[in-house]
Amino acid sequence: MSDDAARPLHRRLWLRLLAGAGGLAAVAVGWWSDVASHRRAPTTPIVAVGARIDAGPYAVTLRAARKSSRAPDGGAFADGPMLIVEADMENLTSASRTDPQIVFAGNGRAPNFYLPEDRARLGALDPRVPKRVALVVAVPQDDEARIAVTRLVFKARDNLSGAQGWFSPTPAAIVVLPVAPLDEGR
Amino acid sequence: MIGRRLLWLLVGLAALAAMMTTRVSHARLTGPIEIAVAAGAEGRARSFRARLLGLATARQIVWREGGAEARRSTNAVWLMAALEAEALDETTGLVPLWRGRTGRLTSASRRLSGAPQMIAAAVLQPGFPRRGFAVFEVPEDEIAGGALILGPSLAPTYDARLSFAPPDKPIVAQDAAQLTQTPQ
Repeated sequence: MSDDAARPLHRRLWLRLLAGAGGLAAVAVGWWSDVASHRRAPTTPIVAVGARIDAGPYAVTLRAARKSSRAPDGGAFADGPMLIVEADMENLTSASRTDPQIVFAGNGRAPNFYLPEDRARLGALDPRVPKRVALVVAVPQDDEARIAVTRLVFKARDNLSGAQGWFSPTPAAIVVLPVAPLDEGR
Repeated sequence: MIGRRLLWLLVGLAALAAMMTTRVSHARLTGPIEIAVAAGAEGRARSFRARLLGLATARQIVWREGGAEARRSTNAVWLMAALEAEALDETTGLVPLWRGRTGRLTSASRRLSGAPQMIAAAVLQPGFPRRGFAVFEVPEDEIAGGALILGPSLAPTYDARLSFAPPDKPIVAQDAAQLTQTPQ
């Protein structure tokens, strides 16, 4: 005790704090988990058909959905009819982009993406040249399709090279489209 | 004594902050070195030389593919640049870009990937100059005041790319452009 008393106050306090660090950490973690559990998860807004959605580098307007047994390039689907979703897309950035399908990345495994006017796959979107595009997804169980739109976030200087770019895909909106019945013609 | 130390610390922090905020980004330092080429002149970069022969616009692009006619129309304008290019020391490819009046960079259209005479798809061999087209889908108001950019890749590092001023003669406007012959 005499040894203890010989030490200055701040030294003794520091030692005790160090000894109780685990307890303090437990208190802090418990308190923060309580705060976090009361936070509400962000909900993705449901947007009307035909509304222009800001998806970061692109502006997207979903138009219609129909079942079809043929892809927009004319080829028949191997596993029965699929859902073809038509949308208007515009590249809002200052350069051509080859990743427009990222906007629909939230709709299952890599949906196929077409430019119906060419009856071909869509390779890129050029700035200020809007296009009517079509994506192919699985047919939903009920008679409406929920199409998720993903947004990218602009970063003026990325951490690696300092160049500007679009990163961090986050859900932007969900559009509920009525599904038109199967057409055999197209 | 303490005051003097604190002063030096502050000076050091200020110098660090100044260096951090004025630091040039890596992308900027290593990015393409642009060489301006006068109208009608030949441009020379490290790995290739090229000349812009002329510009033309069209509403439709037509070519023959596998016995059938392929036709691509547009809600903008097809801008066709006729080029002559040659690799200098080793085999190379070229990436053409159109820098519009507003500064936007349009790549050669992928909608024409099956078309003949495309310089973007060509493999250039040293000693064999080649002629071909670079075709862009651009809004009409991006053409006047624009420039053709030609580089060995989309964003060359430690390398040059050429920026061609458009030729002085007026741009020929066509309704449907046939991609059958190499440009003259």
